[in-house]
Amino acid sequence: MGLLKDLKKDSLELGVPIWKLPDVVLVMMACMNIAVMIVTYFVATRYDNDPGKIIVLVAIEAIIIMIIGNVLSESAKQIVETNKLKKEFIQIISHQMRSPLTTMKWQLELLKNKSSNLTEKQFLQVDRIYEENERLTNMIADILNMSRIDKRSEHLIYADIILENSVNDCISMLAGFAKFKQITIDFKNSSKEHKILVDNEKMKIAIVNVIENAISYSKKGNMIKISIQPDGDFVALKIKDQGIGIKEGEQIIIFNKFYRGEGGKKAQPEGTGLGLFMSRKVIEQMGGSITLKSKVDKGTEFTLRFLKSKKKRK
Amino acid sequence: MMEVKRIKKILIVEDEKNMRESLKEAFEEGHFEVLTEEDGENVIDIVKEKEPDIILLDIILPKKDGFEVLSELKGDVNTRNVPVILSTNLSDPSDIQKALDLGATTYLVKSNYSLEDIVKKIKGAM
Repeated sequence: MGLLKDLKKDSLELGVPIWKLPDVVLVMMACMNIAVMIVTYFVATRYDNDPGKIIVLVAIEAIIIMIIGNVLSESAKQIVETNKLKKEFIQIISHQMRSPLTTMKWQLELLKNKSSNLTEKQFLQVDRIYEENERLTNMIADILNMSRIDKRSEHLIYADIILENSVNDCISMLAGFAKFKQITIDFKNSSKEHKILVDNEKMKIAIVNVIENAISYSKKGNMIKISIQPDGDFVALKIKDQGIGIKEGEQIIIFNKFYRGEGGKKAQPEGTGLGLFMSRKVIEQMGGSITLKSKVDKGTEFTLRFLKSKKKRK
Repeated sequence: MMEVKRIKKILIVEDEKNMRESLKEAFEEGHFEVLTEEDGENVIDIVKEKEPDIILLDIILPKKDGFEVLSELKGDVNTRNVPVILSTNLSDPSDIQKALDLGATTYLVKSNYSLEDIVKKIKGAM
């Protein structure tokens, strides 16, 4: 029964009927082969002096195998096509939806800058619209990043990079959001630079997610401390906030796909529950790790470990 | 002799009207002279004629996309030294790499930036 359930699930996910699933077609092909071989054996022993009949049988077998092979290649094509459409759909949606959201954000910013004409209440209302707009924009970014990361076949493009530079990039990406939430990000470049071997773009997605969470779940006026230090064959990036914290029972499952912590749901009801899942996935793909220490109402410290560049490893 | 500080001229190539107007307003407030284009077709001619100091170029454009325009600009001796900032909403790493390979000074993912930060980034790239 479990097998049938799995097949039904695969059929739904891949968008092809069960009998067209490549696994099913392969089993069908093997059974057909065995059946034809048995029939051929019996016919051959019975009509051993009539090679004509045997040739006809072998020909029929070849035709049947060709038909099944054709079904197999058709269903494979269908799966590839469905995946391509899905990818294009996500690309188009994310682009088409991001543009109006960006324009709305910019217009709100212009409106706030000319705040002399706005009453305090109106200013607050504009602020709220701005915040909601940012949430929606982040959700779309999450979905887009998810579609990029959640693929086993995707290759990582490794390069030796300086972690400090990437962290600075991530901070500047989130500077507007931090300013809006009145959160200070404290990251002092140490005199020593730390070289790591990662896919820089994917790593930045992971780091941005963690810092973005830290901002989202902090209170006005809080500080986020970011530091970098060597840790054996790894370089550890620590991101420490003074936010709402994560309950002990939730500290492991918080990395699950679509899981959202209780406190997180209250503080920010609209999140997707994809951020930390993606961060862990991408960091682990690169041979690193992500762990956390947290106390409710005191804050959370995430430690992201990335492999040092080869020359630096002992 | 004292050098007279000239107002910087920016060319914004953006097909979406409201986005273009938002950028125009922000750069005018940032004391820029602003030229705008809504597609990629005549960008090279405009650049030759009006000589902007910097170009903010969208990737997805009607008639001629941002990559084509960028290649044209970088392939012409008269325009190759004008810094070009590619702007996009796609944040696809391969697109970003392509933009940099073609000679863009830098790129920005529009939805990640406030107008204030875009103006800052452009000033920094000049």
